[in-house]
Amino acid sequence: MGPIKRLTAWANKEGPVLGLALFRIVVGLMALRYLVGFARDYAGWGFYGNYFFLPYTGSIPQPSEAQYVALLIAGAITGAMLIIGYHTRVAAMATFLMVTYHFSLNQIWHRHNRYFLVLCLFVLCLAPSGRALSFDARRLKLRPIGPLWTCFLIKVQMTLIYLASAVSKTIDSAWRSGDVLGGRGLEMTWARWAPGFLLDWISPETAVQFITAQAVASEYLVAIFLWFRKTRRLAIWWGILFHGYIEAQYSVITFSYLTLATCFVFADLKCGQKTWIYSSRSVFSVEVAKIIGWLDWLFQIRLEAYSGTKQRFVDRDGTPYGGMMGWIMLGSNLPIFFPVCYPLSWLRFITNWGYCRFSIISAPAEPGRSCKPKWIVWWAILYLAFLTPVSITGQFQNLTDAMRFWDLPWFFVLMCLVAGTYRHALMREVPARAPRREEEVTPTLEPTPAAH
Amino acid sequence: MVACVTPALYARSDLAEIERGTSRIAELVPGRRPGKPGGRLGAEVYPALPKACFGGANLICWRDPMNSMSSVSNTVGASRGKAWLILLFCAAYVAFQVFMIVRAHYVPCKQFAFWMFPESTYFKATLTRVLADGREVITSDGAWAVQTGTGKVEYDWQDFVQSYRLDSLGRWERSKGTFDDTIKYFQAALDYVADRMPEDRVTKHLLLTIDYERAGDAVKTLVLASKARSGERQEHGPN
Repeated sequence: MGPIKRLTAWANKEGPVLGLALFRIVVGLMALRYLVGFARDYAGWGFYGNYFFLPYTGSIPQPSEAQYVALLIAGAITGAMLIIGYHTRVAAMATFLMVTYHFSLNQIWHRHNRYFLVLCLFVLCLAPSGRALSFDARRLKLRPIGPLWTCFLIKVQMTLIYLASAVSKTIDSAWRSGDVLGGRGLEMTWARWAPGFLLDWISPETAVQFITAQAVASEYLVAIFLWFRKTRRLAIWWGILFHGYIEAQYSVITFSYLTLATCFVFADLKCGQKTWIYSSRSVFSVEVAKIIGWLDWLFQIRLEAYSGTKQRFVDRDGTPYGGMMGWIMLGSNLPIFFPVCYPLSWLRFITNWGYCRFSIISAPAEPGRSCKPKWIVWWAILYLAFLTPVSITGQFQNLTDAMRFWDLPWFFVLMCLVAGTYRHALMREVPARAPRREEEVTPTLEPTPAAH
Repeated sequence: MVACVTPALYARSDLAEIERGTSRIAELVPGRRPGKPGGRLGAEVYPALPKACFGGANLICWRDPMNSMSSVSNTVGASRGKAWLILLFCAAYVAFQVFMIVRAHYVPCKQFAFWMFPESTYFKATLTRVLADGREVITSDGAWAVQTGTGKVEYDWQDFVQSYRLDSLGRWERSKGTFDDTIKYFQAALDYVADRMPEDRVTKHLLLTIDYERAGDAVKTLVLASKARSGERQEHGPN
């Protein structure tokens, strides 16, 4: 195939859009967060037009106060529609237009994370993100398949952001010397939190230089490693730690969440590629299997049962793991436990720890019932109802560090509801395996780092 | 490419025959000559085919034109035009992003260029009124009062300017974003305030003296002046 045909074939390529759908949910949440933040400012300080503001250009029409309030409310509603995937394309376009218009009203509101949100919404307008995990997909019986070129745009955008940030730091002498991070209070943080023996060994100045080098190197490495299958999970794990620390320390509003959401797109997700085989005789195992259904936000793990007593995790490449390593592998495939379990999962490369040599016979045991979609609607209504008084009442004007994260439990519940609602339909798309006997595998077979 | 199909299921289904070009079903696909391998198995084709064609299994099938097994299109013309549009759009999008990033290396404003934590500059701004007789009167952290025919009128910088740490006068603050942006906003804010104090007839213009310290650099001073309220404009550069 010639290069021209390859290019056109790439542009027409279709594939699973599960990652895009998860990305859509996070972007919708961040659009809500963005608008609610400005609603809070409005409640605290009043209409922005009554204060100094600086539009990008005089040609942008400025709204009246009533129009501004209507914009915030309408944006929040379309953002909620985007999350649940109701008329997804229209919701994405409406949210994009409203967030972009709002963003363009005042230069002083410019933040990189807000601009990134605008770009994410723009790409979502073109993406088939409503073909999975959405009311549209249920209503129109859409299959979770669509064009993939928008995934490429999201990935390239993320990489450009990392590289732009890393290059700007690399060429800045104040950054290289550690003065910039030192000026942001890292020296004091190190002096306050580091244990005494570590402080004697690494002075605050040295620590800041080390952290500076680490920050720049992390941006380069994550930008590159996310593209390769063998290094992707490591990059995602490192990115979670990296952005988690930045979010906790500095508050970059929506940036950390959007960045981590792009990992869903990078991850090339396909449903049901791994299997958790549990004992149907153990009440504990059965209950754990039910919980897995709620926590498997990436829809990676198929559930199977057998009449034995042990549980087993079967990786994408068919490698089975039992005992503690089985649990670790299960945890490293559930987003909520991934940061802790992923590094532990590397232990299997040392001594084949947890590697199962004995075969078992299991049968599909996906839960027959699933969560109802209306629960997500109720969640959205409750969330918006929660946001309004909590965000707009006086005592919440200045959010402390802890209160910046008050909506995370809502995100958690939402993701559990999404997993519970759509799991049945997505797993049904995967051809059900007939009860089978796992082939006995040779112990010399080594799993690769990219095996899962 | 056909995904999520076990080899055994694939081998016994008519799908395998379609791929081999030996199935009668393939003759139904427009634009494909029966009996030759390489028929396009697009997502738009599959739903129209009876489920029985696939051995009764639920299949997820999608186009992967990179795969030679399903590489020939029956809608070559239309999809090729669409493909070129997509390619052009992607190229334009990426080129624009790269342009904005590179451009920021040559201009003071770093907006739209993703320079994260670009600097760590601290500043302290002091607002001064320049009266008609030439005297300079320092305000009390941005607050001042003037006597008018109807009584005393009080003004406060914070009543006009909020956010981006532009409202914090008289104390050291770390600038958000780049300090160049902070200066730009301060200049515009000075003009904004100067336009909105009609009762103050004795102030000719406002001055903002900004002491600032960039990371790893010494403290410097910069003076910004509002546009002259009498109509003339005075400017001061960095000291």
